[in-house]
Amino acid sequence: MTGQLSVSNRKMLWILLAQASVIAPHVTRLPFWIIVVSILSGVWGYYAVAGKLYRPGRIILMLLVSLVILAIINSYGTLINRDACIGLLMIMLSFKVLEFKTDRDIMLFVFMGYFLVITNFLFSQSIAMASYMLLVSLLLTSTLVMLNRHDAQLNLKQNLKLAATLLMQSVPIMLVLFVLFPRLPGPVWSMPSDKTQSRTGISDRMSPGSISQLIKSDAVAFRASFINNRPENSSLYWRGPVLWNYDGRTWFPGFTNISQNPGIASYRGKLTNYSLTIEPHQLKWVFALDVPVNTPGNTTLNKNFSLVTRSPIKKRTQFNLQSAISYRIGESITNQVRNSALQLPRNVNPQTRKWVSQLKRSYKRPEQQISQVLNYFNKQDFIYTLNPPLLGRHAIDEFLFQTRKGFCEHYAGSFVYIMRLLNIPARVVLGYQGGEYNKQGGYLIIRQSDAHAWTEVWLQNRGWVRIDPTSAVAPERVERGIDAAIPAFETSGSFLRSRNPILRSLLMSWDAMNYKWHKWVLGYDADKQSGLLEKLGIDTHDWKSIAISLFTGLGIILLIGFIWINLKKFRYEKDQTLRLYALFCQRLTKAGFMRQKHEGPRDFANRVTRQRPDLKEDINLITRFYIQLRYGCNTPEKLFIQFKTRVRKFHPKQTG
Amino acid sequence: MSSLAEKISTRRLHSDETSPILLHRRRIYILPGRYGLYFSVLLTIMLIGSINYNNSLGFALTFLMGSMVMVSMLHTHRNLSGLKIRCETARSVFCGDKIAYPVILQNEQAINKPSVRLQIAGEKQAIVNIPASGSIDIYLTMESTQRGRITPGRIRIASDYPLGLLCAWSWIQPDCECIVYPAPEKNPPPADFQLQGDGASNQSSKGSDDFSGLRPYQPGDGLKKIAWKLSQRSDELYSKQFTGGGQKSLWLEWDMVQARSLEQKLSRLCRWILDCEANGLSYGLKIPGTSIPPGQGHRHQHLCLSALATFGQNT
Repeated sequence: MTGQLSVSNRKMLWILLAQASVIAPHVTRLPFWIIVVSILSGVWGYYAVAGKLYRPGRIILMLLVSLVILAIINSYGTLINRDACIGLLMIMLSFKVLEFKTDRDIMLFVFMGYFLVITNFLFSQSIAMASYMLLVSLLLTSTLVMLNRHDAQLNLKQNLKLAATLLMQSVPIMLVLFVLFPRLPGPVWSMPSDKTQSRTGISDRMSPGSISQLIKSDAVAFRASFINNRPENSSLYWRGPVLWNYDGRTWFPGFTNISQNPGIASYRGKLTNYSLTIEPHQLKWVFALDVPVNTPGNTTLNKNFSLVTRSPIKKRTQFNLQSAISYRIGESITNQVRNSALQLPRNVNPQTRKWVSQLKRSYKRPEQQISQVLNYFNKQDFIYTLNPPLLGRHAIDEFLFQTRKGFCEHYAGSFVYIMRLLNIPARVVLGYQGGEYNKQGGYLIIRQSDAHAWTEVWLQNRGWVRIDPTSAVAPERVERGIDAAIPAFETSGSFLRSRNPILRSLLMSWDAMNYKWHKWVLGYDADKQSGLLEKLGIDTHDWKSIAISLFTGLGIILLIGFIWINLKKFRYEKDQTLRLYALFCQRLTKAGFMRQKHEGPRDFANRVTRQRPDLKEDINLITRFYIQLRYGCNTPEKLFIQFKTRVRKFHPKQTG
Repeated sequence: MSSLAEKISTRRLHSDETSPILLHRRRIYILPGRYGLYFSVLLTIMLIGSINYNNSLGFALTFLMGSMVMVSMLHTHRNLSGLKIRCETARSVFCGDKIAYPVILQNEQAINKPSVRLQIAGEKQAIVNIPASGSIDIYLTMESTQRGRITPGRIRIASDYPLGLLCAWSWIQPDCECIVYPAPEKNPPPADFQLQGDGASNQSSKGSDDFSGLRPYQPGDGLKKIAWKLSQRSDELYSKQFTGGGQKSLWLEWDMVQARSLEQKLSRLCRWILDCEANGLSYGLKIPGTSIPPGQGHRHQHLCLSALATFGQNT
């Protein structure tokens, strides 16, 4: 490294290009002015280094920097949060170009590039981003090689090749570190006011339209892989929030002031073991299969038998769960619970009230009443649609007797309403239903479009019983999933829901790959680590054994590398010309002419040709070629090829 | 730290080695350089960030970069390992001039060895790229500060290729030497030396310019003695012959010089030798311990100047 700036313009251009490729993914996230300023300062710096433009002095740079800091505070409202920091970093990086005085500055500039790679991972850790960033690291490494190679010209190909070699050789050590380096659970500190991401997913209230909106989203809610066997689609009810209160339009959770132990579900048959990988949805719901039995780690079962975490799910999290498919819950309830499950708004839906009182008169037993209501949904021309008409003040009246077009929230809501009028305690359950099985990955994908609302009614001696009024209207919704239940035109245009089988299978493979990526790469945390290490027989509670295994792993790899490099050295020590000449000598030795130590090639050739005049032509030619290749300068490639073919064809034993 | 590293890395250097010197793995040392330290600071920050955000790809990148440093250790080491170095005798110079030791770096391996830096302690460094299965010749320069047989001392051969994060180095102490003549005195007092014939007749120095004839040029004839005009007309070079050139000769003697110090004395003798040679005189040198009979030509001059250079030193 010399004391002054020695890079050529072309090298400089490469350095800037590599840096630009790191910044590129940030472009959409940054304010427009930062991008403009960065590009301008990069271009200015390039020409300043080339000596074609004025190079700003220290004072001007300071001024510019303070201006920029003010502008960033103005843009972001603060300087100390993740996004503002990245913006500032970007600007500083581009200003650094203006400051290049020595090669040293450029080295540090390239180092900063590696750091910027990590800032990209804060926003996306997808396979695509990872591959792109690997490419960027290759570029950055090749610029490092370039800076440390004191050639006059730019050997782009060689630099890239060496950088690729270095990276590839680093992978084994990286894997050892990745697997064995101790992971800590949870963040140490967090940057203030990291922007909360907008969330998609089920919220804890339900009004007409709130679920049908979700149906349009292809976003994955969670994935489930079953350890033993997968239950049938019709029993895949993924339980979320339970809603008790109704104000005539919206259903709320309510029922919060009562502390009641949910009790234990009594269940029959085998338990289902499975793991859920939930996408971050900023709420606490773990959508366990109805009804969860265990409460792993950070979770508790609330009084509605919904599994919740202690803190909102802000990153993809995996839960290993157990559920019972046939179960009984809440066989005895208190009056308070009973009253909450019968609460109704007054003075609305007169028509429904009238219809219910007729029903009450003709049927006495709750089971009969329930089946009559379901019958009504089934027999009348109710339509299951994503685009129901808007409803007015007497929403349930209008839905039941006029429009008769609705989505699961309409059916669930009105069903509970009717039940409560019938004096049967009832509540709405939100969650997901069904899911798409990924054959390649062996797991179930549950998307936002699988969001569903169903109901539970309380019956004497049976407790809370799940009743899904939607299945009375559109049984295929529960049996075959949402796409089978809705007319195709209502969801058309969505790529992910394409029904083309080839595309479908490609999409599933891609999803399976992503799932594995998330599960094993991105989701590799303290828990997974200790699980894996225990399988390998390493005691995870003893840091010493982890350290020993870490260093043993590294040592083994470095040793292998060292041996490999040295072996390679010996293997390739001789050059090809020498090797071919050795072959030539070897063949002559077999024919009875051994080259003496003191004999030069020419003397050797003379001695042999005196005794074997028949080989004269070949030997002289080969010897001449050899001398020219070995000792001449600027020998053409053609000569070597001729030499090679001559030596290969030379068989003194056969001719003699 | 760096002084400790130097102490450790030079502890095997005891005596001058004969060429060629092979850089084998036992004599190559490697440590992170300044950029290596900066980079490790950066890696630490990246690691803390990854731990904090529990960012798996952040971990992966940090570990990849860390592994790259380790891998580059092997590459940097390999860039020096197996290099054969031959140092040769340098052309003699006058004290105060730059010595240029010819150094031949031979790479017998099939990989390029770029960016190898060679440096005589305290001198400017040379950066060379040595091609695969090839060799490269360079001159390592060194200021000469004293007369005598001067060896380059310790030469540091270093490389931080490919990433500049780690520095591998090796010390060699070759036995190649350079005879450094004393510096000729700048403004010597007027010479009062005498031409001495076989006898002792004093003659002016002009006497040797008596032209006596021509003979074909022979190697060793001084440039000033070539009859240029005549040679222009023919294909051959001719040298002028002077009477007395063979018989009348000059003895430069130790006692002839009156100077304050030994070095000044040597400097003056050096100046005289150069003057005699320039004027085409035949001269001999008599200093304590050495007597060189009169003669002429570059060889003779070198002999005399070498005698001055190594005066008082065991040769």
